[in-house]
Amino acid sequence: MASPSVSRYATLWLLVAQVMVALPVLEVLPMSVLPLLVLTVIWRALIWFGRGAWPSDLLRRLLVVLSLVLIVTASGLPLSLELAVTFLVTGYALKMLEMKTRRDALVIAYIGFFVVGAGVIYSQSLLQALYQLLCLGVLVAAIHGMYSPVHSVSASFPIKDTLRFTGFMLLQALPLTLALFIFVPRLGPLWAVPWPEGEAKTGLSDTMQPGDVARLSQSYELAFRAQFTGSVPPARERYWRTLVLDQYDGEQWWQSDLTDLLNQFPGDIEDERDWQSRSPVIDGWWQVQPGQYNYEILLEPNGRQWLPVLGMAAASVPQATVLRSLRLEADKPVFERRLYQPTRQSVVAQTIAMPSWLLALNKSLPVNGNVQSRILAQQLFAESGRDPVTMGQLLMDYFNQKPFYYTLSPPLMDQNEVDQFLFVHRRGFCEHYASSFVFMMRSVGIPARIVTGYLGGEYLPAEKVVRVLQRDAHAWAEIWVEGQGWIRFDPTAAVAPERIDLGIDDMIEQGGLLQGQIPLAYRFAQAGFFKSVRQGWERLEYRWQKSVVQYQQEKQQSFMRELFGTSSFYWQQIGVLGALLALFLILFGVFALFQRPALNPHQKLWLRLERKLVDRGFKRQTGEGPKDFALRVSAENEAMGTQLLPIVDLYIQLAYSERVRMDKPLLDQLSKMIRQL
Amino acid sequence: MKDSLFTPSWRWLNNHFQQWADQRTPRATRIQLNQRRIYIVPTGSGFFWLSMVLVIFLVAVNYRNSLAYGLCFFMLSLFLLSILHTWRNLAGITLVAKGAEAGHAGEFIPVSIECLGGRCRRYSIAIGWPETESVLVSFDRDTEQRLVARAGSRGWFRPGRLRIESVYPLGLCRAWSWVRLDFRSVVYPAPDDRYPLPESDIADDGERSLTASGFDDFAGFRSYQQTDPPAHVFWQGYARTGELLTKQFDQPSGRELWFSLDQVPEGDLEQRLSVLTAWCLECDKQQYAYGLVMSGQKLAPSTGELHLKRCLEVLALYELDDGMAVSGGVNG
Repeated sequence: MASPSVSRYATLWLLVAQVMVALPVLEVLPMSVLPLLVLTVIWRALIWFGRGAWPSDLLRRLLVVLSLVLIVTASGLPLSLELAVTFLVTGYALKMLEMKTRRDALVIAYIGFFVVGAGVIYSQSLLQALYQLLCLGVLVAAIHGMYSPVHSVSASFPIKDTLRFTGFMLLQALPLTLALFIFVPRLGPLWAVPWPEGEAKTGLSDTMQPGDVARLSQSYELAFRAQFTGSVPPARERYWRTLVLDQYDGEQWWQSDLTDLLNQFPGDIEDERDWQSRSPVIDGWWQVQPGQYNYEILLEPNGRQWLPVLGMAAASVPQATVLRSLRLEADKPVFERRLYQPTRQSVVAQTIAMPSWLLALNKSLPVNGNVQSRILAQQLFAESGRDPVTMGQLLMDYFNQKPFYYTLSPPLMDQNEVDQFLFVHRRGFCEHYASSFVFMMRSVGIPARIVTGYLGGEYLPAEKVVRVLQRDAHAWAEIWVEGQGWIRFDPTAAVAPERIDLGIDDMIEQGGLLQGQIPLAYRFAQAGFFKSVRQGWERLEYRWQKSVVQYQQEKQQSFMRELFGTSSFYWQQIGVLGALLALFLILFGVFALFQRPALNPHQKLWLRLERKLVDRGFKRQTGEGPKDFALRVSAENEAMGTQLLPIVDLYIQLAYSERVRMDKPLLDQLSKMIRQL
Repeated sequence: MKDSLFTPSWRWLNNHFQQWADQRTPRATRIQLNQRRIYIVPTGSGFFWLSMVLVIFLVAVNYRNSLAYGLCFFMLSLFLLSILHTWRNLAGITLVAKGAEAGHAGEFIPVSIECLGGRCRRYSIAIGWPETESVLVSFDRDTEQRLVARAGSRGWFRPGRLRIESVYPLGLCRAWSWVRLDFRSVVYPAPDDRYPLPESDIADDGERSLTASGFDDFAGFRSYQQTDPPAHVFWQGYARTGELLTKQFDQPSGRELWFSLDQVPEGDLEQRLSVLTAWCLECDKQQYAYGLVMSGQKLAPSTGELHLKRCLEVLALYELDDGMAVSGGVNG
């Protein structure tokens, strides 16, 4: 059976949808495809306005080949998410140029849904969610338009009807969606999927320029989970050591590797055993003692080699190396989830052996630059009596007493950035504080280095699991004190202690960041209204991320546990879904029960008459015709009969006479007569 | 139209379903569509939609993406809601059989059905018999809808199940109902003009029936009466004088034809009835007086529309169980 043709009206909706769904994914499409897409939209619009011709078969095939060539040359063949999205968007565009029947139109609309699905992989922000909901509305309207009668509605563009229907549909679907969202059990990933390029491997990077960690703090992606047995450290002590940045060139910090070191200290390092070891027990570098915490880490795939550890790494784990900078490095980049159990032992700080080359490495600075900072460091060092720990304390006090701010979007600092930060802007994120701290320490000859990793993480008491997100990324400093080993200094604590105590999420929620230092907020600092709108939005976005975007397996389980007050909530969860289904069926039943028979106007009037007569004590018998009924009434009550008989005559005329059936004036007259009875 | 696709077992299943559905919903002149009558299943695109939901669910699972979960559940919700909406679009509709015209077996017979939408607005509802094209019915006003149904065999007109269906609003589900409306009209036998009118015959009761060859003689005018066939109106005179006159033809008392089943040279009962039907029609066209002698029934020779109708009805209902047709009952 041939599919019916698609109306101009539905086509219009599809055109709108085409542009709308493509916008969020536009930036991942290869540049070369964009002109083709714009061309097809314009072409289709021209056809819609009756000013263009449909492309011929040959031309369509040429377009398909052309776009295939463009896509493959631009993004290469290996299947990536970007390639899939490009195919979907291009397919939408090309199919629009040959859309004649409803079947074609449906295919297009369904592609639209997939494009929306691809869009939410790239961004899950609140704004994106609202926008995609709008897109879904347009797609629903388009499909509705395809099935709407073209002729019966007075206008050929029944926009009001469509909007009303779509609105109703969304209003009805959203509660149902919400219920399903809350109660349908979440599964873990079933197989590995290609992640969006660039964004997927968010996480720490092995080089650090101020600003890097701040960018991470926008990401709600899970970094890893740590499952504890026994005691769990409080948030302020959960320093997940991941990278040790000890190389500095005046602009950025990075980690040493063996080749670097062999170049820098030829002769000092004899072989790799001076720098790295796979052994579970390390002789000569340091001694270990029983540690306090027993835990294992489930690391999310991030394509990197480093493995976070709580505190200093004391020994290696399988398929990894422990480095002399007290961190773990995996043999291969982690592309699948990796579970590992760091040793329970901890390093005895005093026993750490530091060969001279390692001390020299941690003191090295570029010769020039940041003069002011160097002078300040000399002053403070003199003040401290040349004691490294006192010096560190003085620096912390300095950050604390001068008007330094903690902000997620620090101003751009290019040259002499330590000076600029310390004396000009005084706004920064953890890495600014850590790097200026280390810079000043090194400038007075104290070995120091930057450590990056994560701080805090969300603790789920029921499972004794700490969930650490990318946004928990943090940077701090370590200085070397002879006889005490590496000592941790977290300058951020001096500026924003709540970052340490509460973790970044709670800090934002409690307004710690919103007091004039939050990203855009301080650009609008002068305009109070914008500021409050911005703050309100920030808060909303935060809630959205926390309650919706983060609603995954663990979150759902803990929510269910909270909701049902039991640890075995499985049946309750199934029960709720069952109840939902029952509710749906009841709704169905209610519809069914309240079905009134459809009646003609004269039949409605007759029923009204019958009701009126029942009130007066006359009930029509089953099988008794109107005329007989009227005669019987008039036999019992003549006065009533004289009124009733003309009504019945008129009714019979209206019901059965071909000539006056459904005659409006007569119907009105009948209605009036019944009222007056 | 889709029958070729049906495997025998499917057809068997389908037949049983139909029988079951028929038992649940007897014939009536006024039928309201309710939960007993409306069936609903996903359409092809409905199934495709569900597979899309599955794909997006897998995406959501693998990317641990809450919004993808949201999209998947939203689409599932739309599907569930569209079951309700599609069903509601049909529910409560009342169809009233307003009557059908008479016709011959095998012809398409116009049928009037009143479609009452009730308080709800109705959209994109198609109605039709399986063997005819479905038409979109407008429920904007309570209107009478004229459909055609193919008349099967002679007798009482009993069109099969009327199919009323809709995929509105999203085309994900198809709601339909089989409705068996009770019509009262007669299907005449299909005319069979293989044999010419009998030349001359003696009817059973001995009355003479003369040759029917040649045209009637024009006998004069009389003033027009409403029942006169238009062919006999003297239109030329009307144009000249403004007075309607009817031409009268001589019908000598002997020129009457009596028809009976035995006059047909060969064939079974149905074929003979068809031949008689053709003869009656021919006589009516030629304005001969004709009578019918069937076992137990005798219609005296006469002319006119009413007479033709009466004769055809006798032929239509000859040796049929009358009771079955009137009670409007068991099988269709």
